Amino acid sequence: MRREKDTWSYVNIWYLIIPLAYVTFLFLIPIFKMIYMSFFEFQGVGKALGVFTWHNYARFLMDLYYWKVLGLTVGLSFLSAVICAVMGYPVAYHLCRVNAKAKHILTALSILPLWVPITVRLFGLMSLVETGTLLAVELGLVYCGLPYMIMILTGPIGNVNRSVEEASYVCGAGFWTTFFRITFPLTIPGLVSGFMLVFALNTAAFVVPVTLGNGKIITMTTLIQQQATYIYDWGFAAAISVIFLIVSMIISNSGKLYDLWQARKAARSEKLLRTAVRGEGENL
Amino acid sequence: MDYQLELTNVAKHYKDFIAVDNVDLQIKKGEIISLLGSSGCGKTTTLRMIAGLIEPTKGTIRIQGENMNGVPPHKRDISMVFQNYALFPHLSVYENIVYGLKMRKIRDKKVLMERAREMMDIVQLSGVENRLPRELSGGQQQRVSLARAMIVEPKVMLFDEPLSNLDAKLRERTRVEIRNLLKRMNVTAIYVTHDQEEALTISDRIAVMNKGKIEQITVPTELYTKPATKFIAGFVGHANFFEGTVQHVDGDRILVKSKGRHLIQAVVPGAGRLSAGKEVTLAIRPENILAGASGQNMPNLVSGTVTARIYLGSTVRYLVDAGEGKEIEIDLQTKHLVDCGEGDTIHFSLDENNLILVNR
Repeated sequence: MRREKDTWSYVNIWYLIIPLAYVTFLFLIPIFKMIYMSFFEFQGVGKALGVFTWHNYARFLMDLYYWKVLGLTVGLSFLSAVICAVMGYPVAYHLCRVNAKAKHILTALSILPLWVPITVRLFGLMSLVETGTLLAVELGLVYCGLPYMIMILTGPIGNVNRSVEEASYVCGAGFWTTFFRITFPLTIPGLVSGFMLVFALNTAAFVVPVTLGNGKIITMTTLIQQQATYIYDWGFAAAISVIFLIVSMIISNSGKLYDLWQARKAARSEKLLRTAVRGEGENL
Repeated sequence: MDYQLELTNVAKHYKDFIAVDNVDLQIKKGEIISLLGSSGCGKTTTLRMIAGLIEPTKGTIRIQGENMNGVPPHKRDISMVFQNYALFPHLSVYENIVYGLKMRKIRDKKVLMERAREMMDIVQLSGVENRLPRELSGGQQQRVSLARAMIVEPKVMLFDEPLSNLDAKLRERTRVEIRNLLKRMNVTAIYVTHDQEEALTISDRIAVMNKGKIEQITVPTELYTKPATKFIAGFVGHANFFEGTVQHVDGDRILVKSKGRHLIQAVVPGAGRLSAGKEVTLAIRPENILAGASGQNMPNLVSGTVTARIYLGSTVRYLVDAGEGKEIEIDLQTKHLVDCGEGDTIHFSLDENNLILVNR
């Protein structure tokens, strides 16, 4: 899209240098170094890299164990996103329906856990559940994802026009019919983005599997940490990271497909609207 | 018990605010009643109480004699047209229109299709049944919401300022269409509006609301010619007011001395209950003032200085300073124009038969 040149603005393109430098030094360079490293034999910390090899990747891809770790990671976080959606939706719904004062208090309460450092929260949780079980890890993931899900959902639920719900009531629909036929379908875009956020956050969760998995539940993040800091095979760790990076990119961008689909529908609507408005002008 | 809708002593109190104050209203089957008033007068609150969206603080609402207190909106067999249309944005025009029928347990696709088609023909919407609401113009959306409300053949149909989002020309045309449609289908309707012209066109009777109360309920013509209160006289159309003391009563004829020291003769029905010395308010419409009068034998002769001359197309409105801070509006047909501009002195007479006695 072309910008209008005569729009006056304070924003100078050179201001972008600051974030650009930040991203380059702290993100792009390390990432590329990691990708580079994943293709070479690792000969020890501080030593030169060995010869080019596919071995690091082959080792991951040929071993069923690593596939299982990947599957577990994705599976646990997918399930946690589902549970967060189911648990978070009613909370967000009520948050949007109470009066302003109650809303402030309840919103504060629902994001209260985010004010406490994650390790502190999880140590609290550790005293309640048996660590090293799938249940414990899943519980931790849900616990961490829920505030985000609630926050994201309050937006679209709050945006549902109340008179649309009222229209459904006066048309003869009760509360639940109205909810499932009107309110819920209108909030699906928000549900998708909330789901994608929690899914992506929890795929990359590290502290939860470390503390609640207690070394018995291995996810992609803990696997990378093991390889990098205990086994000192940075080449393999880098390869796992790259594979993990690709998987998480696919996951977090799959939500975009939905957005794209919505955008296409909106564009079609706009075209039809233009003809409708024109038609009305002629009728007059 | 013969009434389609009956409100008895209905009130809505908020913490320190009385939104609706003891409203009584009886509506017969097929009647169209407007609730007319400025914003905050309680008309929308009254409508929403009838719909069941708000519980009244006290009083009873009966639909076909059945007490509706505590009955949720979806069990009242009513329907409503909203100001912002409130169409279901994710459903097609067809799905929007048949929504109420589906909720009334009509599942047969053929029946649904047929009734939707019929309704869409009536509101002239054919050909857009598969579109989404956002793909329609404002006028089309308005007709979809009308069709959606009307297709269920409700006991009472409620309108919440449904035309205020349309442009002036379309609004004028649509209100006639709505009235014809309601009459054809013999629907009982309550129509909330702040637009007096809209109320006058659409309704069989108009209830003017002010500060949570119904001030007068009557047929459109009477509302204009015989407003009961000063508020109504000023709200529906324009009016000039003369406050003063009764000097003399003779049958229907009274003589009033206004605060502006004018002696005004008026013929008002029911003047017999008045007696000399009583404080009264007389109102007269700007078009009932005869300007350019010079004959000394005309009654209620007043003169003043023109302060403004406003051209309104078919009429010209003069704002006249009649002395002692009294401003008077006079409407003259453009074709009977008097040659008179700002600063000129104008003589006019108040038509004694068109003076109205109003309550304060």
